[in-house]
Amino acid sequence: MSPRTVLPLPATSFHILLALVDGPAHGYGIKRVVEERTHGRIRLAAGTLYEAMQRLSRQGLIENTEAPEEFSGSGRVRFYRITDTGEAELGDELRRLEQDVAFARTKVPAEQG
Amino acid sequence: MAHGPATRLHRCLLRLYPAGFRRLHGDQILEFWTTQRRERRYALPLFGTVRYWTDLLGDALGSGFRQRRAPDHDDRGNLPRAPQRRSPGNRPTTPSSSTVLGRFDLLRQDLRYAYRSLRRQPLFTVVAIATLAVGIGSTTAVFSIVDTVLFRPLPYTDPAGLVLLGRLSESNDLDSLALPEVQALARLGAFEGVAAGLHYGVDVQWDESAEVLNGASVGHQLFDVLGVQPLLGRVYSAEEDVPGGPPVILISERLWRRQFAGAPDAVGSTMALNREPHVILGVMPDNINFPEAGADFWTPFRDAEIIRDLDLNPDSRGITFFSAVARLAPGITPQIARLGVQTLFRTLDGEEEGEGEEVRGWTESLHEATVGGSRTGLLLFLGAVGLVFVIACANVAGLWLTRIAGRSTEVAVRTALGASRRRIVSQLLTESLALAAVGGAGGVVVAMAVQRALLTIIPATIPRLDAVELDGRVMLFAFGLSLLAAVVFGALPALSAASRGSAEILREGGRGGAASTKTTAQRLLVIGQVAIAVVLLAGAGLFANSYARLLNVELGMRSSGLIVARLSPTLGDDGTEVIRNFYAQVLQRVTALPGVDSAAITYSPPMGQSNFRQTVMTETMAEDEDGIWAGNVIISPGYLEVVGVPLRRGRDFNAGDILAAPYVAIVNEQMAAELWPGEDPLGKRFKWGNGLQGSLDSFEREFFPRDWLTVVGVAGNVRRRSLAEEPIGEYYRPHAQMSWPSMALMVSTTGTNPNLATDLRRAVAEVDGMVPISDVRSVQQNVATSVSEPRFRLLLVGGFAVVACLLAMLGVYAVMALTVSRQTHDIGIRMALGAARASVRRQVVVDGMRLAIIGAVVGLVGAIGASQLIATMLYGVGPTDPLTFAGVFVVTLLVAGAACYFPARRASRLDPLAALRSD
Repeated sequence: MSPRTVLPLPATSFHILLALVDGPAHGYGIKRVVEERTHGRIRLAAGTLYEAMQRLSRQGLIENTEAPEEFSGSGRVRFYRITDTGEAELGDELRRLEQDVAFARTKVPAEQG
Repeated sequence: MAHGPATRLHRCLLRLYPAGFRRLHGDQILEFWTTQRRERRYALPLFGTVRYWTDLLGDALGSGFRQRRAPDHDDRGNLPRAPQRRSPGNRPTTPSSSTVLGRFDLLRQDLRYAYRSLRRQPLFTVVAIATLAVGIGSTTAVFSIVDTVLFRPLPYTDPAGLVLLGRLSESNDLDSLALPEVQALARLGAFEGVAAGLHYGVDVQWDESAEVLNGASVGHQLFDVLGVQPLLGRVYSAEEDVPGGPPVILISERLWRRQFAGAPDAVGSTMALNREPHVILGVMPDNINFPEAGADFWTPFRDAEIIRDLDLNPDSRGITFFSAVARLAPGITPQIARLGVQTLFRTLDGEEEGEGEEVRGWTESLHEATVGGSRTGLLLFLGAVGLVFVIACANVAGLWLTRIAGRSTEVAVRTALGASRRRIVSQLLTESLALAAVGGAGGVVVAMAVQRALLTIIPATIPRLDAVELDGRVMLFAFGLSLLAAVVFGALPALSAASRGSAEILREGGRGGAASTKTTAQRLLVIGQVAIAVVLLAGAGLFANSYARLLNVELGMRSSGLIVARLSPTLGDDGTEVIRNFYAQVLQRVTALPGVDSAAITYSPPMGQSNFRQTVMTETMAEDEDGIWAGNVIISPGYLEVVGVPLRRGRDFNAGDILAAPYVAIVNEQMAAELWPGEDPLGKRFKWGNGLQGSLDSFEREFFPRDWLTVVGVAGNVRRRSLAEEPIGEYYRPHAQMSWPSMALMVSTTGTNPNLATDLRRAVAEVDGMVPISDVRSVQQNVATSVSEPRFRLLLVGGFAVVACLLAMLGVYAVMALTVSRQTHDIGIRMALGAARASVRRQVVVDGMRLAIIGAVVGLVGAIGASQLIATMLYGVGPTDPLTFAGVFVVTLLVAGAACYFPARRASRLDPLAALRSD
């Protein structure tokens, strides 16, 4: 599957991938990270989150992984990490966004709006 | 994770996802939810819980729906179609409504849209759902009780054919019969079968303990007449139901489970009644409510053997202890039966010598006789809660109108884009149905809680409460209410919204034009709400007033610092001497207990069930006169002082008033006035006539003497049976001259011994360990029990009135807030032109109060009409008590004033410039 086919990433997927860049996390952990980063603007609900992660994992952008050592006691909670394809995809998406933003800036000056 | 209700709900929500998704992620989502529950935003006690579950439901509905529509991504890993945001009003994307599938799709689309649109205004949604839940829930709870008590058939075979026979009292109640009347009725062709019954209490001795059980002596016909089968064993036969027949007994299922642990071999074993073994023939269902509810055993009637053993003559028409139930013969209507009974009674009267009072015979359907007394009260409560339901609907309708008005532009846009009027109405209706469905579901939860609360405060005098439950029928009722609510609050506004021309609204451009500043409909709804709340408030006020007066009546004795416990020693073959010795020893030991001031015994403690009365004759009356009814109260010397009944004249009983001495009595002022008006009662004599009524729990010849009694004292009047009943003529007899076995111990306490109840039991057990002792209660508790019905009325109607008031207050608040927000622009102009903030505030309050006053006046007029319905339930206060009504008016205005205050304050704090700039 060519990574090109998945762009642009939906906002949910984008933030999930972004959350996993720092290292593996479980579902609720991802939700917390996203919520903190977006200052509560994006509050992922369980169903929506796992729906998105199912899609990401089918696209090969994330995968299951062992629980990190500090979480080894947390039993059946499943951990996810971002794949190399995922990181590449995220990079492509960032570049795409940067281009969009740069173009937008030529139209709308930064301090206004 | 604990497997509580939360887990179950979580699993229910998971089912919204397709199985495959659930298998893959179910566990993870459960973990996620459990962790999420601990977030701070869900920490608030009630609101947090609601918010949590609303969030979960929203998420599960949304993503579950998407997953089911595109259950799996195709194998090539292509993305599923992004969920399309379709607006239901846009024709091009609207599925065709001509096919079943298309219609289903439309419904799904409407539901999804409804969910989103409700979610967008959480405050509206939560308030509306809560209001509906309260309205539907309380109505359902009251309905479940009323339905069980009033409307369900009695638990007998073909209950419609059962009638209760009796005499018609002066107050048109059904009174019990004399034996000759029962016998004559049994010969009447109108009935297929007639069974006589007599309620009584008896001492029962178990292996290690003893107690008093209530049961009945009933004819063998009873079981055929009612059509009840024993759960186990058999009932007694006609051969066993003859004078001198074998000692047999039937026991209730309740007693069987309690005493025999439900063992089948209980049938055939024996139990001791008054130390005499009786063979248990069978176990009967608990719900045989004849002659009275709650019987634990049934023994054969045997031609009124119990009464004959007293040397009383039950063949006279003065002994009226008997109840009779009959099954109508085929083809006989209740009206024909009643005519037959009336004719029969006239014949019986004609046979009697002398000029007796006319005795009127009467029949009443068993159902009516059982529940008729509770009907008015219960229907009233159903009416009261129905009003709460109406207010709730009016409230939601008001909110709904506001909401729809706010969306008129949206509706107009969709209409302009080609959505049909039908489409829009159906969309809005779906929203109101969805809201009502959730409200109804919440209502069921509320109903459970309210029903449980009601059953704890409902007086035990209402029959059939043990059968109350929340079953399918009640659920159906709740469902019907929800549907009704949805139609009431949803349909009319939806129609009106869709009928307005879209061009007109669009021209207004969402700007607060003339049409949308009008809040006429909301205002009318608010007036209606206030009026209904006033009706309920007036009812509550009347009940409160009446209850307060009841509590303040002169009881005629002390009620505080007195405790009471009934002792029931068995009268053996050794005669009454044993009983006298027993009580002498008990009184001696009890008086010596710490915390006891003094003690005495009586057969009829105040507000107790044990009362009997008979006719008495004075020396100047002729032998064939009927005499005058008077209550008979047995007491020990010192009783009057212990309980604080004043001795007006003469002397108390003393140690000299023994069985061998001349019989003496103390009469109360009422009886003195009835028997010897204007004369000095001291030294006068009276004796028993032929009449005897009441609840007797012991039957011994010695207790029914024919000697003259001499009046030695006059005591004050006491309200004995209930606070609402005027004192009747009564006389006291010394226990030494009428040594009844079962007596109530009355103890005046100093209140310093917290273990008094235990000490009392020990003191009695020291005298005789086999003597049953009832609950130790305070006289104050008994008084409280005796007013449980008026208290229940007050609590119920008061509770509903408070809810109604809060809802009406919410209604006033909502419409005033709406008015202010619609008039922001105008207010801005006024303030810019120099209007003071106080004047703006005053204008809003005056505007709101005008609604409240109109509502209150309408409500008061309604209350004057409605209060006639409760006139008979009031004590010492008229149904149109001006003071109560004035109070209600004032309270209503205060509440309305409070509701107007916040919108008024907001109006007065508007920044004129911002207000002017606003749309």
